[in-house]
Amino acid sequence: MEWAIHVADGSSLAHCDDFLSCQPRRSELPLSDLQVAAADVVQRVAGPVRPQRAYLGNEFCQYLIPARESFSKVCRELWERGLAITFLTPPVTDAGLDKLRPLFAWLASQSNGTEVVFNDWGTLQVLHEEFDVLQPVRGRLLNKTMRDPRVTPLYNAPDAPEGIRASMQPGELEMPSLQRLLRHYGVETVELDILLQDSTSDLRRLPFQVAFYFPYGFVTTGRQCMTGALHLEESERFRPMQRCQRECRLYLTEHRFVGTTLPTDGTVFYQRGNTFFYCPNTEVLERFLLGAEARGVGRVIYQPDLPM
Amino acid sequence: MKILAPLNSPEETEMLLANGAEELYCGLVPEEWVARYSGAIWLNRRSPAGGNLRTFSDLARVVQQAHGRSVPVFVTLNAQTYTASQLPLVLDLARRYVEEASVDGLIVSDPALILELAKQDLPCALHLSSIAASLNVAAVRFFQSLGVRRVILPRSLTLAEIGRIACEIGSQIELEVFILNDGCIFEEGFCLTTHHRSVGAFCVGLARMDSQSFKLSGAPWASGEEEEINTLLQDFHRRIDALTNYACSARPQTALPLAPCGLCAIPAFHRMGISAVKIVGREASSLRKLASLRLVRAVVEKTRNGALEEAVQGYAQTLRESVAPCVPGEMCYYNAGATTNRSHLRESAGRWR
Repeated sequence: MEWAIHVADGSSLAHCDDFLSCQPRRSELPLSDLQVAAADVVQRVAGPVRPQRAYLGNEFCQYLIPARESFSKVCRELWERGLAITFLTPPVTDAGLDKLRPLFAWLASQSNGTEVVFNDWGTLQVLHEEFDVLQPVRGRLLNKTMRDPRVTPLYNAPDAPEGIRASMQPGELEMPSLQRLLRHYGVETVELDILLQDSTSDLRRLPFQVAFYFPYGFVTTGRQCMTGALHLEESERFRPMQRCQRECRLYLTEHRFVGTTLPTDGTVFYQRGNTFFYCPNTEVLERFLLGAEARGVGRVIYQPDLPM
Repeated sequence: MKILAPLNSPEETEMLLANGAEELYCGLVPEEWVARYSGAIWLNRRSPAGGNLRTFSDLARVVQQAHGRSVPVFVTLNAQTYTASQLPLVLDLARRYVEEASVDGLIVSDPALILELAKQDLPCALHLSSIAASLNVAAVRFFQSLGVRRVILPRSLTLAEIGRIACEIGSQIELEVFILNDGCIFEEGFCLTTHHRSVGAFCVGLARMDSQSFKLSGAPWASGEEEEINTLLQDFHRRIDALTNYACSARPQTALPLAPCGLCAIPAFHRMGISAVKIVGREASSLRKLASLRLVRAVVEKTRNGALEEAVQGYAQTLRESVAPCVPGEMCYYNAGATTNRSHLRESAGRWR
C-alpha cells in the first residue's frame, strides 16, 4: 500500500519530510486534536511510514490553481525529494481550464505518466484529447455516495432496511459500463473518502487502484465561498466570481449539529473556504487502516491539514 | 427558446399548457421504490411525497394531454448516483416511463445510468441534469459523447460563462438554463447531503448549528476581527435563506415566488440560442406554479416581440419588485440586470430580512 502526502503549495513542503510529526502546530484549534489523533492512529497501526508520492494542489476551488512559475518550482522540489507527483484539480469553468492547460502542458513536457486528479468530466476530456501522456485519476468529488454525517450512520445501522443500507455504499464502481468508460479514458486509479457509514466493500474486485483520503472527508462544496467574501461589501458577497484574497488560508469555522434527539447530534463539520468537511473518529480511522491491506486499498493520501 | 414548467399532479397539466408552458417536466416515484428505500433514499431530487407523481397512469395522463398540444414531457431520474443494486429497478422504471407513458425525455445525471440507458436504446432523449455539474465546454462535450441531447447548465455559472459555452458548442447540443425559483449556496452536483425532513437541508440547517470561527495561525483575534467573521457568518445564513426561498415561502396573497430568478437574463439567453428556460419547483403549490409560469412567460414574450434588452430587464424588475426584493446578489442567479440602477430596491429588500 502506497502512502502519499497532501501538499497544498510550496509553504507546506515541510510535511513531506516527516509528515506525522508536523502537528500539532496550533494547539488552540479544535483541529489540532484531530490531527494528533490521526497521526497517532497511523503510528500505531502502520508504524513509521514515509510518503512515496505528493498530492499537490487543491480539489475544491479554481481560484487556488497555482501560477505556472510557482507550480513548476514546487514540482521540482518534490521530484528532488524523490516523490512522485499527483496534481490535484478542482471542478472548473472554462476560465479554470484555461488556467490548467499551461500547467498540464508543462507537466507533460517534464515526464510521462504524471498523475492528474480530475474532479470535473471536462478536465478528463481535456486530458484525454490534449495531454494523453498524463495519467488521469478520478477524484473523490466524482464519487457521489451520500456523505452526510447527520444521517449516514443511521442509514447504515444494522436495523436499517437493507435497501437503505446498501445505498450507503460506494457501489457505482462495480458497474461494468462505468468501468469501461473510465478505462477508455485511461483511468487506473480512483479516489474515495473514508465513510462514516463504515464501508467494508472488497475493493480487490475492482479493475482500479483505489486511493483513500485520510482523515478528512468532504461533505459539500460550491462556488459561493463564505470566507472569500470577508473583505467584500455585503452586496458583493457570495457570488461565483467574487474576488477573494485567499482568506481560506487564514480562517476555519467549526459547526456543531445540535438541538436534535438523533444519535448523531453533536456531529461536527469543518468549513474551510468554500468546502465543508467531516473527520471520522479514531475508532473508524483505526478500523480503516487495520483493514486496508485486506480490502485492497492501494493508496492512502494523508492530509495533515484540511485540504484547501 | 422554450419555457419549461414543473408539475407534480395530472390536474396541473391543463392549467400549465393553457398558460404558456412549452415543455413540461416531472418525477414519478412508484410504490416499489418507496417500499424498498422509504423516503430516505430519493429516486430523483425531490421527496417521493412532495414533488412526484405516484402512478404510471398519472404520468400517461400528463403525457397524453401535453402531446395533444405538441408539448413534450421529460421525467427526472437525476439522483446523484445509483448503486449497482438500484440500477435494475431504475432501468426498468426508465423503460416503463418511455414505453408505457410515452415520455419524450429522461433527465439524468449519473454517468453509469447514462451509459446503461444508451445500451437500452429507448426512443427518448437524454437530458443531462444540472446535478452533473457541467461547468465548461469540455464537460458538455464529454456528456454529448455519451449520447446526451440536452445539457441543463448549473445556475452557479455566470452569464458570461454560459455565453462562452453557448458560443462554442451551442450549435451542436441543446442547452437549458434555470430561470426562476430556488437557488443553492453549494454546487448541487457536489453536495452529498440529504434534504430529508428528519434533518432538513444541510445549508438551511447551518443557521441552527453551534458555530465558532478560528484563525488557522492560532494567533489571537485582532480588534474587531472576530466580530467581522461572525457578521460574515450571519450574512452567509441570510444568503442561504434568500436562495432557498426563505424556506420555500411565498406571499400568500398572490403565491408569486419570493425566490431568486434570472428573468433579466432572458434577452441574453434568447440571443445565445438557449433551447429552454426552466422554472424550478415540482413540489410547489399549483398556484405558485401558475404565478411563476405567467411571470416567465410575460418576460419571454416581451423578448420575442423584439423589445430592447434594457427595456425587458426593466420590465422584469418591475414585475419582481411587487413581490420580492430584486437586488443584485440577493435574488439573482445571473446578475444580468446589475447595471440597471436599482439602489432604491435595496432599501425595500431590508423588509425581507
